[in-house]
Amino acid sequence: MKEEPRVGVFICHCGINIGGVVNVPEVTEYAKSLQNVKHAENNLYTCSEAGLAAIKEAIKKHKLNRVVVASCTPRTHEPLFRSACEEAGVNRYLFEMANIREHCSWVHAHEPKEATKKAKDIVRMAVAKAALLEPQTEPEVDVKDASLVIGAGIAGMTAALSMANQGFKVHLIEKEKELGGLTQRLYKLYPTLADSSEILEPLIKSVEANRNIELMTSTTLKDVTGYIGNFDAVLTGPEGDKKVNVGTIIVASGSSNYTPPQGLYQYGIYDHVITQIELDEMLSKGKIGHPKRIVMIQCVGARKGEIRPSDLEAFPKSDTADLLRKILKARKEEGWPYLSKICCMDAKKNAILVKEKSPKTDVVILFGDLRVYKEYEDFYRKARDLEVRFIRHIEEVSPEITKTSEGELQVATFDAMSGLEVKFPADWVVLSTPLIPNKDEVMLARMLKIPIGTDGFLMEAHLKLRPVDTNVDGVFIAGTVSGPKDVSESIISGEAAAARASILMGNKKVRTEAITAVVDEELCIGCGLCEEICPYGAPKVEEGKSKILEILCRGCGSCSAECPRQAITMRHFGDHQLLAQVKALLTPQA
Amino acid sequence: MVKEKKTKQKFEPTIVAFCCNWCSYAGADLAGTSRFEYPPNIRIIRVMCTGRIDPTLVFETLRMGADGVLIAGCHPGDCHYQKGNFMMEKRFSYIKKAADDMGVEPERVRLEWVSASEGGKFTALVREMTEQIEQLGPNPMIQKASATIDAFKSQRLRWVMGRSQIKVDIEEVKYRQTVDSIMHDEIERHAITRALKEKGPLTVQELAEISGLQPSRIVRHILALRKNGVVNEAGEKDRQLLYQLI
Amino acid sequence: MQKAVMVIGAGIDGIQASMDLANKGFKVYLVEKSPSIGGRMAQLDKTFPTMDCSMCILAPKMIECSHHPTVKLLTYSEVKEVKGSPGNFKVKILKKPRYVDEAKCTGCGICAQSCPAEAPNEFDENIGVRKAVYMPFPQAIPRIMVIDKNGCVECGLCDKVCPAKAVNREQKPEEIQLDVGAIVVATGFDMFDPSIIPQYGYKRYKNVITAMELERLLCASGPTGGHLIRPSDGKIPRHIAFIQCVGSRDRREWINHSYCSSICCKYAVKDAVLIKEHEPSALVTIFYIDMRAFGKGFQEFVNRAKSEFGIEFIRSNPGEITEDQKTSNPIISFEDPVTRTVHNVAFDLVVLCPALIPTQGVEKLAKTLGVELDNYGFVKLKDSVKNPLDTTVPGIFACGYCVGPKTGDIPDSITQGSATAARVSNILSDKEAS
Repeated sequence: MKEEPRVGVFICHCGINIGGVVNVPEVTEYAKSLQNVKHAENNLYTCSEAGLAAIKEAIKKHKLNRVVVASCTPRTHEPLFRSACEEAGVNRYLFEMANIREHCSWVHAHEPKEATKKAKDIVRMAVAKAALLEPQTEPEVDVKDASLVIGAGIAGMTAALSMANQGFKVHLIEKEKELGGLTQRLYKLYPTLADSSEILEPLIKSVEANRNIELMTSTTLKDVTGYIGNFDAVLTGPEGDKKVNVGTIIVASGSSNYTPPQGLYQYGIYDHVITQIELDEMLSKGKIGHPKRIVMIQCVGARKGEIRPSDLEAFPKSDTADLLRKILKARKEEGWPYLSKICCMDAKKNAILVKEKSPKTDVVILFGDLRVYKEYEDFYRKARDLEVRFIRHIEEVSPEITKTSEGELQVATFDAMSGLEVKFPADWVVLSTPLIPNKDEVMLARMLKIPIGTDGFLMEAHLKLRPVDTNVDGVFIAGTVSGPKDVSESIISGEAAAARASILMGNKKVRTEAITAVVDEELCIGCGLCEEICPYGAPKVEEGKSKILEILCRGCGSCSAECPRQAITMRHFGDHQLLAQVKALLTPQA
Repeated sequence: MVKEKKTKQKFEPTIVAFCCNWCSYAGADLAGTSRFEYPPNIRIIRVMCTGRIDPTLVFETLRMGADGVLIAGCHPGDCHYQKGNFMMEKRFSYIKKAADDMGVEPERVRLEWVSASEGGKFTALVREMTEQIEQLGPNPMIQKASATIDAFKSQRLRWVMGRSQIKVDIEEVKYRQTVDSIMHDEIERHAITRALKEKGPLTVQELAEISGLQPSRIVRHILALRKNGVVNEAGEKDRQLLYQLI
Repeated sequence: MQKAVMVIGAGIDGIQASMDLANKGFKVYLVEKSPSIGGRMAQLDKTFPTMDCSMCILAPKMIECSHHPTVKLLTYSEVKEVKGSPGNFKVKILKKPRYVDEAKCTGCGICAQSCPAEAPNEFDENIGVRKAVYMPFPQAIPRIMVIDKNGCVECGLCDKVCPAKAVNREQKPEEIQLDVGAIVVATGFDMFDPSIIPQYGYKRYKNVITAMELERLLCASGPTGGHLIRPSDGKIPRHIAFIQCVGSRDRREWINHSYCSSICCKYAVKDAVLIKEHEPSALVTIFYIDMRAFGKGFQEFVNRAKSEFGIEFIRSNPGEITEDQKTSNPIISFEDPVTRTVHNVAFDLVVLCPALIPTQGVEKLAKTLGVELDNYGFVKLKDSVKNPLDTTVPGIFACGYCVGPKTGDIPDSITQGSATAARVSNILSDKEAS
């Protein structure tokens, strides 16, 4: 006996985010007029305590069995509202959201009339779907109390230790023979000017000593299948393949330091043109001596025209190169489309180090824009106090490196303040280059189904709210694989990822996808198309009928769209539910 | 006088967009977060993956009066479910063929890739599509849409389309030609069966008039429908046989 | 001396020869190139002059033949090589793959129901369609499906739905060796393709059809269930014309069928009467040169056709057929035999009665067997008077239409079939062959 739907509609002002454009009271009145709607109200912030309480109260008072919240995107607040429904006795899946902020008030800010009309449409569509929703249960799966950490750099090791210390088994793999990642190449770290080994060595020692960490160097990820709580990973190393079963995965595979192509600022042509990281190495070996002048050039590779797609020869024909080419093409610019953030600090750090060792050396930093944040402002001041010269040059014109007749390096640029050309002879020219995505990143992204952002780094689940989660449940990211970070930030993100992963593993169980496929056996002819299409191996034809193993189904719906008999329905996103939305939009009176 | 009125009243299209949760829906969200602005003609329906979208959904949406349908998914290789978007891409080639044959302009039915970080692309896409469809005018809704929908529900067409997602064991060109001819057959046959269902027994001549097909083509379809046990004779009228649904 | 015989061709003549031989105790290999036995008779609706249902009298013979313990059916097979001499022929047969396991298939037809690929139905003279996996006709023997790889799109659905798991897409042709004492050729006839006579517009005009196509339209188990409708628009035709001698008695070099095909006048009158029985208001005209109504009971049949059924006979060989584009009605242009004036008369449907010609492949078969063909391509008899059953190769006999028109009808073919059985047992007995 199907119950009659009693829909409650809650329209959010979201302060003035929605209310400032959409006529919320008008939409509320409209909602009341819709079929199946037994109650409609509006709230200032539906996601607030007050708002949630209002929902729960209304459910009880009006005996609501379906809830529609018209506010922001379900991608952020759906879980919150679902929980509220559940607390009030309404199944989580009897809830639908109408996105009238990101898809309405925020994009039609100057067309309030149209926005209000659109909001009504969106609410109407949501109500139509809500009426057809059915309660669902999320199957619970066990979470294996083991984790796989990919990459033993700072972030990876931090994450591994954090989890291991909580008693979880960690498989830590590193593609190189040594641990430490990019940090190994650094000399001192800002702002404390601590030696990188001060951080690395204890970390490496702890990792190697920890009994819960299985460390595998020269090992990479070959293949991974499974789902949250139960991933099967195949690792490949010098001793062949090894299978591990883990509950969570943390990707901490780091990034690379961009090496300029030959010729850029005469790199590779003139001996004394080096990168910051090469300077780090020289400083650590005490090789820099007491030069007369060092000129540092910032934003190398980040300026227009400096990196052409053809320069990507540095990356042999690979997915990364293709991806980066795509990014460059899409942006119609040349140069990295993001701020690498650490290069300014890096330069200052090295400048300070040089000055401390060799106070007489003139250190000049040529920059277009100075990006110094947090407490690093003090660091900047320290550099200035040491008489490091900061010269802002005209951004559009790149500094030029030439050699004088005596074989001396000369840097020419245009001072932004005066507009005049200035020339510096220099003993060393140091290029500050950005961090760029790792060659292996694309492969990992594909294997784990993590999307890559337009900057080429792995994308987090939500830029603001979920910085170490990925779209794939159970897979987290840490370190520079998701974007340039300095050492402290990498450590923090490693801890954060570990925390998120250990919550899962600590709970031992997790609820998985309720949006799965259902086969109507009467219609099914056992043709096996679903079995061959499904990327997860969920359907299997047995005795002439398709049987779907719900635990493996991720709810993509391809089987449903291809089934020759239309025998497969997707829970929560069935054809009838989608059609109801279309119908409500286009033929509401029907 | 009437002309003047027409030009004053601007045509506002209604475009339905099916967006996948992981990429394009998020991209649309980002457009909002970034406060980009685009025309308010678009209505988004959320699906988990574009692979979810049954061809009948697209045609139902057109039949119900949408002036345009946009399917927006993840870039190739980025699908959260590995290959849902690839399957949509292949499926779309069939949808496009049927739409073209129905006389639906290519600007009205589109498949595009929008990633979660491409708020700008989403915005530009909506602007472009809205403008183009504004120029085209309202969707000239065609009765054939019902027959097309029925055809895309038929096991025969769905099976050969579905097989092409996995493996084609004969020459691709020949396979595609076969699928296209099956598509035509099924659309035309469903127009016939629909007419018979709605109007009762009809002659070849009457079916030709209703469907706009050549009588000899109707005969061909009737013979096949007869063989498949779908229609049979139901008497005579005007020196012609009447056919009915069994 | 092998007490075995190979009969090539499983039409009514071949079937009769096989049964008689089998009943005499010989082992018979009945080789047929199509997937089913039955030949042309299976395609007919009714037979003249008795108007018996053709399949009804053929089917029991087909079943009896296939069930006979000493008859082995080799359908979908062709003769590839013949060596040796009478009493000891060594034959190689190539069995074409059906892509269906004969041992498992029950002929249930579920595969055909599910198959998405359609192709023109050869048995129905390409009027209707069949699927890529199909049973040649409902009463086919052996009752096994066959897959036409040309039409098949290799989608594999038949395999999935077959309850007996009988689909075998990897099946290979099979070579079979036979040792036989004698061979009987009974390869029958094909119909001449009238499209070589452009004036008649066959294939250009939808409502100009051949007599075999008409048979299928009239047949109760045919594509229209026996309802005569015309191809262009499904209308029930009222004015129908038959044109005799299309290609027959034609001395033009490029046609080369100057003989009379013997049976066309008979079947035309039969079909005319059938049409009148289906549709009493129909007006049927037969354009002929001579009415070759020989054979038992036939003249009486023609007289009945004229008087009782009102069928019109016009002694004139039409020069041309054109088409009324609006109605798709074919227009026959002919000379009135009496007034010598040219008339143009529109009909709803025109049926061409084409010459009957040797089957495709007979030339190759003749080479394989070493037998001679006459100048029309039919199997040449040793002596058409004295040895009307022997071919030019001792030990190889021939019966039915493959030796040419003769009387050409069914009783004649059956008689010849039995006669060759006698000839074979003659040479394969211990007595001396004559």
